[in-house]
Amino acid sequence: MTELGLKIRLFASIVAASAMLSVLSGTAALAQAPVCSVWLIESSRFMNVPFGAFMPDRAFVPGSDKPMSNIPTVDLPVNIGVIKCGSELILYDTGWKQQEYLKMTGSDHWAPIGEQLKLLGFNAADVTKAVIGHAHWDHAGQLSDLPNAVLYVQRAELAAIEWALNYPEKHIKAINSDPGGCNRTPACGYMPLTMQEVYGKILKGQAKIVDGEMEILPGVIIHPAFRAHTAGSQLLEVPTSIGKLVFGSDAFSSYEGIRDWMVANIQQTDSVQQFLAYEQCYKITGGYEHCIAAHEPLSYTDKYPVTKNSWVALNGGRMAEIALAPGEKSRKP
Amino acid sequence: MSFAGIVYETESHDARQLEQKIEPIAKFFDDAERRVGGLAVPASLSKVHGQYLEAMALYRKASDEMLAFTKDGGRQHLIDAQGMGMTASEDLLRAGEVLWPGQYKPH
Repeated sequence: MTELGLKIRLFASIVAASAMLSVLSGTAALAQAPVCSVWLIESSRFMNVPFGAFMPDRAFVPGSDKPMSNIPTVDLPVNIGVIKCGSELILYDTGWKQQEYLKMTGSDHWAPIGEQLKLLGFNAADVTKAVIGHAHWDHAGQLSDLPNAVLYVQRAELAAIEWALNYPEKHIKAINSDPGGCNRTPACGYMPLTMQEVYGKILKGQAKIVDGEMEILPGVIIHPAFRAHTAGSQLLEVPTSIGKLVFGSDAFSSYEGIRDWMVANIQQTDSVQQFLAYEQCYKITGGYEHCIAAHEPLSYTDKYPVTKNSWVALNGGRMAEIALAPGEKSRKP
Repeated sequence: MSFAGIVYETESHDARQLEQKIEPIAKFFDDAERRVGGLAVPASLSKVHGQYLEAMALYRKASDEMLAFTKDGGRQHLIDAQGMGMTASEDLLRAGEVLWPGQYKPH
């Protein structure tokens, strides 16, 4: 072989070695991209809710044989996301524990968050972050049971609550325990003991007041969804081994709503913003299957596929294992 | 009261503003405690009357603690006030279960 041929051969082998190295590095980088393990816990279940109260487009019509209008009532879970990313344990929403509030709403199948986490092999003290989708009574009600968790709540949510609770018109500032109660008026759902839960975290210096988007861990990102349910609603994007998930609290009250583009649980909602929040999930995850809904009646069944790996736990409440990070053991009994 | 505290902690950090919000609340609880205390109640309701009165007193103490914070800046006042407020809410709910079973319960 000529000297030039040898040089060309040497050059080619260096190029090949470099290419091999970059492929291996890329693969290693991909393998190192952080992913989280995810479970879903049912804090309690609202029983016998008129379907039309939850989703106006599904209002029951007596005698109807149409699937959109032939179901009179549904049971709605209150879903909590349990998200383990390395050594960090995050809850998305916290459910509630105030027995009077559970009674007021005809709820059943409640169990305390500490006991539910124990069933998954965690302690409440292990929770490092609590991201609440919004501050309604069934979502921010167990913060004080998470002694080491930092609360993440949007400034816009707190500002809107303060405005509503102090508004001088009694219907606008009405909460659920006021005479006549409330339905979808601005302060509905922001009950005294729930506000104490939020205040307690702020007072202890265990709260981050969020302004819009925030990456709280690599790949774990808070996205604002203002007025998609309440003024300061927020979503949480989570990378997992099955792809990205987006938790939406009540902005994503219904999986069928996200799939079929219907409004759901329109408490203090701007319906346009709710649809834009659905669109965010489609864009982030590539579809609707990985949008995690707070109150979907089909939760924990085959009909809501991402939640189908489920089992019955405390007091008839349900849990599901959604995704496991490499090396993470299954916590399904 | 909780939200006056939340606004102080997250936005204003203005003790004078907090004082202005808490003063009317403190007066309200003071008046409520006196009015509830002055009620003539039947023997069958004396226990729940006592519970209600204690809850009002606890709310008043909580508001006094928040006002004490606005005077001396001692954070423990706010922490104590929050704990008292939570206990008072829970106690009012328990008393309310007797007074208004199955109905709305102010707390």
